[in-house]
Amino acid sequence: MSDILLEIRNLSTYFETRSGVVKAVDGLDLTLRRNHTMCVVGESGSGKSMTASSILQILKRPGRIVSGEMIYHFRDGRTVDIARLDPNSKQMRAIRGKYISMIFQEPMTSMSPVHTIGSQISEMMLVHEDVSKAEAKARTIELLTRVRIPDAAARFSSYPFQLSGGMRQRAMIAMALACRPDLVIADEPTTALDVTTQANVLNLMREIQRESGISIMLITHDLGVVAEVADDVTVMYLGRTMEQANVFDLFNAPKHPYTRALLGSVPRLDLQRGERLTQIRGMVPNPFARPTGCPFVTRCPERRFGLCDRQEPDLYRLDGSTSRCFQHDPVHAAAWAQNDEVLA
Amino acid sequence: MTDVMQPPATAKTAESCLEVRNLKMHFGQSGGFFRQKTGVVKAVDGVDLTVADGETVGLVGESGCGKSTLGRAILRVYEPTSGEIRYRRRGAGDWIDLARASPKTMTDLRNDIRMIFQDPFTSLNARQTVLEAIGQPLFARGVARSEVRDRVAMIMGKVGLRPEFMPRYPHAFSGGERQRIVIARALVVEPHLVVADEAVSALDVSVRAQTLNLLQDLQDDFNLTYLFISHDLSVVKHVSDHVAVMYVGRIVEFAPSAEIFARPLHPYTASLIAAIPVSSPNLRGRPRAELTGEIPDPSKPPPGCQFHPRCAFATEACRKDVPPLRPMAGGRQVACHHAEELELAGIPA
Amino acid sequence: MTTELPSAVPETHPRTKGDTLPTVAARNSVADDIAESDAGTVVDVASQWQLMRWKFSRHKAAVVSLWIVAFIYFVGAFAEIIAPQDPNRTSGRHQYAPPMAIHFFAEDGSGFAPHVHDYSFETDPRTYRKTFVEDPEKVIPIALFVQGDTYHFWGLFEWNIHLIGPVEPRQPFYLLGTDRLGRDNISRIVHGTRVSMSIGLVGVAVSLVIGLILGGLSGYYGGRVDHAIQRTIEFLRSMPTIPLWMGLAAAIPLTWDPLAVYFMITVLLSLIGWTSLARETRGKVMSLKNEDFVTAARLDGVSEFRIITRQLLPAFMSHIIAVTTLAIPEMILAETALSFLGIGLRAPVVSWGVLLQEAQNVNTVATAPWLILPGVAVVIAVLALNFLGDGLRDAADPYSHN
Repeated sequence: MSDILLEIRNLSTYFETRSGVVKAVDGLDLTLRRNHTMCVVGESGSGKSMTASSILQILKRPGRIVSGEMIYHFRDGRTVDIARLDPNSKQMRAIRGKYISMIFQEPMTSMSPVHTIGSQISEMMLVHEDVSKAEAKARTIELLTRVRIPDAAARFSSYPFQLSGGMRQRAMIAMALACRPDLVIADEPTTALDVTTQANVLNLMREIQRESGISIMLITHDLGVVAEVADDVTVMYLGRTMEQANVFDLFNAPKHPYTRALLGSVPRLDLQRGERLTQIRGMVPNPFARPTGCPFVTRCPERRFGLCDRQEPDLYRLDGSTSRCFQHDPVHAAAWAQNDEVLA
Repeated sequence: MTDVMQPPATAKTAESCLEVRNLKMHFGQSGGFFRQKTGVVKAVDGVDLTVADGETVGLVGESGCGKSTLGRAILRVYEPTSGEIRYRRRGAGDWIDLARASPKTMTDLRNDIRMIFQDPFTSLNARQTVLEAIGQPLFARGVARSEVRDRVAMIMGKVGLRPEFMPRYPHAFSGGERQRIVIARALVVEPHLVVADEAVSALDVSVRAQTLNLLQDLQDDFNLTYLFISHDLSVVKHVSDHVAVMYVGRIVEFAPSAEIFARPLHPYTASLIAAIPVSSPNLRGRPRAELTGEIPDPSKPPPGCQFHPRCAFATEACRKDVPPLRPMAGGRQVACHHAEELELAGIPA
Repeated sequence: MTTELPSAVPETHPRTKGDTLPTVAARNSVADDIAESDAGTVVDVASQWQLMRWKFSRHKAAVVSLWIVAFIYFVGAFAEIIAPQDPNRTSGRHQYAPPMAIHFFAEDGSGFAPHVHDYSFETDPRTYRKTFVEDPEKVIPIALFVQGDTYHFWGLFEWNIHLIGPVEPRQPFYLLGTDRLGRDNISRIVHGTRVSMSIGLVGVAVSLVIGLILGGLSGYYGGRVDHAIQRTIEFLRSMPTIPLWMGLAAAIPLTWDPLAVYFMITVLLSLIGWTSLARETRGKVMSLKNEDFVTAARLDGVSEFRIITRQLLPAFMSHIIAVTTLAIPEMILAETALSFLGIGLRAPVVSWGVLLQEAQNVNTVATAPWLILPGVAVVIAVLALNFLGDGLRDAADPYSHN
């Protein structure tokens, strides 16, 4: 069994609108390891949610995958390129239900308000697996207990609106785990929750990941969440991977200027009152007005004149991580270091 | 409850400018065909809070704890049920009770006390230009258009908006820029006290840093006093001199920021601090108390200390008696029967 | 001939790109930093109306409907000119005459000579029923802008020019046939347009005033006022409308002149019509008054009157326009239904409903099917107004789904 679960190479997802093409995901590279938690971080407009929708092929019109591959490795060694599957095909439906499942930010919108939580979870099992109703119910109650919903047997017949936000998110997690998937994609699962509830839900996800050996792809804008649960981190900006690294490397020795800037812009508890935060100048560019050269060039504090605004850097492979910046390009690194005409 | 005045430990001036005393803000629930009263939501239920001139007081709590209602009650968006909101103008000696101020007095004071809203999308009228939005408080007071223009241009420069954008509509701006318009509208009348209700919560990470730095610059430039309402403890720690922790309509702890994070006195404060995500993976796995259970329904709060159903240290006394907010050493206040006995963990220094 | 100009241009601006990018300067405050980086931002500054137009023009059916509605109102406004003859002119010889066809070229091949053929009559020997047959021998030349029946145009002046008609006045010219009394069907439909389309407008205007005021009060003040108004609306809406109208219409004295009846009917229609408008208004006001931007205006010291007129009204005005457009077809249908039942407008007033009264029995419809054409006009007008309202409603909020 390969250590790799999902390999995304050069994935592009475009939205062709009347006003132009929005390149939501634009040449994304990302590798998910089996039994690990990958956090995808980025600001709004970075394409992190669209990446999730692309993997599950649940893009809303007019979005579509225009290029790239997403190689999914099954447990038995077979592989499939998800990007080549028809969104409505039987295979894709099987992948969506059985192998990859999703947790959304607001559970209320992804659960049926007219069915009980228990019936929604056991329905997933009945559809995708060969189990009897009684078995499904027993397993559902077991799952609800496992996500620490108190009095799970009674909660089986509760409706989503009868639960608090935190409980609903737990039920959502139980539903995502119903068919023992290999990968759970969680899109901002704790953003709508209070700090205390967030801490509980993150703990739970960490525990489940450790116990059941699933992979989690967690999409978030919150670096605190990343620091709490990630094994690997992908930093996205304007639809591209800027840096992918092990979480410790990323926090202790960030490679890309964007990662450095992001880390500096978060208020940390060890800062003194009033200490200034690193601020990234300007804002994420309009999707219709992408800069030429490096995507981050308009805001980068380390950009080099005549290089970063002309050419686009590749994703360079470093020791155990990747970075999309010329300072890590063997060809340009020397020139980059010498050129002190910083455009900051 | 006594009017215990605590001298602020780190305030730039020792004078206080806002004293909230035993403030209650109850909302009637009604239902049925005849709209009869069916219950009372005690959103704010006996709050005491002192804000010193020129400092930032952070107000934290989980959603539904009443922190936004408290902020809005201070601005008289709602009519307080009872209690006092004493406000003292800079340089003036006498206190004005906002809770009972006449509409005339209130109109005058609206130049002094301003609000920054959370959502930069809903708090700007899509049909007003930037000039009309920022200049609105001036126009409302009959200031001449040419003067409004000058003052709006000045404040736009201060918040980092180009004055040429004055004739544009809000939809032409990004979220961060809109929030700066909202900030400019609050500051154009040169206020004294600013209630910032989750002012940076809706913003992206990098824009949030810009805005936090900006708020700090503006505080220095205009000598502002902030009541900074937020659910995000790391942001509150970053900006505040004092922190007030709110739980189901009451203040449970009030202390200088550095001290409350280093050594919380109330178990609820401790669990809130424990729940803050770590800032680096190196800090993972520090022991922390997990807070279980849910925040109670404010229309049916539990008897005694409202936190007792979720508190690991609750005793018989906690289930029966409501702990008053009482003064502690070092200018701190806490509403816990066992504050002296508990050794609660804060953030390791 | 060669010119050196092209090569000279790039040389004069060798580093244009670098120059426009912000360069390092002594910077202390955040404000400078942010403002400077905004320099290159390109933002569109389309006004609200532009956005609404763009959004509306995307709704194809609505755009087509807009033209249809405009055409219908044009016809209504210039009914006297557009109608070939007086709608009340009877002709004993042409009862239930079928539609005539327009021929553009003379039969003898002498070229362009638009004309119609007069009828010759055949009487069925058994039933004695008169049937009309077009007689190619009897040519009636027609033309545009001909003199015909005189009329008072908008009550301003007397005129006799008609858009189309026979060159010789008072010759038979029935494009859509005639009715029981030999009155020209098309002239009657054209004149009916004015009454039917305007009764909608007047009715909706009355409903709008009542609906806006009561709905606005209900939403803005809430509490008891809201309770009272809402229960009234529920009561009115729970009443079966047709019997209610029948009762009220029966109370209109028969001796009243047609205009007074017309006015009464609009008032009766608005009596029910305001309720849905009031509900729409109430909902909108309720959601708007708690919006942050309204609270902000209040905190800015803006007076209540200005909040209502400057913040609330503009925010839902466009919405109200859309709702109004959707209310007009309801009014038209109600008028048609009432008049058809004989309790609405009565002859000599000409409206689509009154005209449809002629088509009340199956026998008539079988012998003169062209008499149901006013019904077609009603369908087209109602559909067009509905599509238009849909398009306006989508356009009303240009900031949604952008």
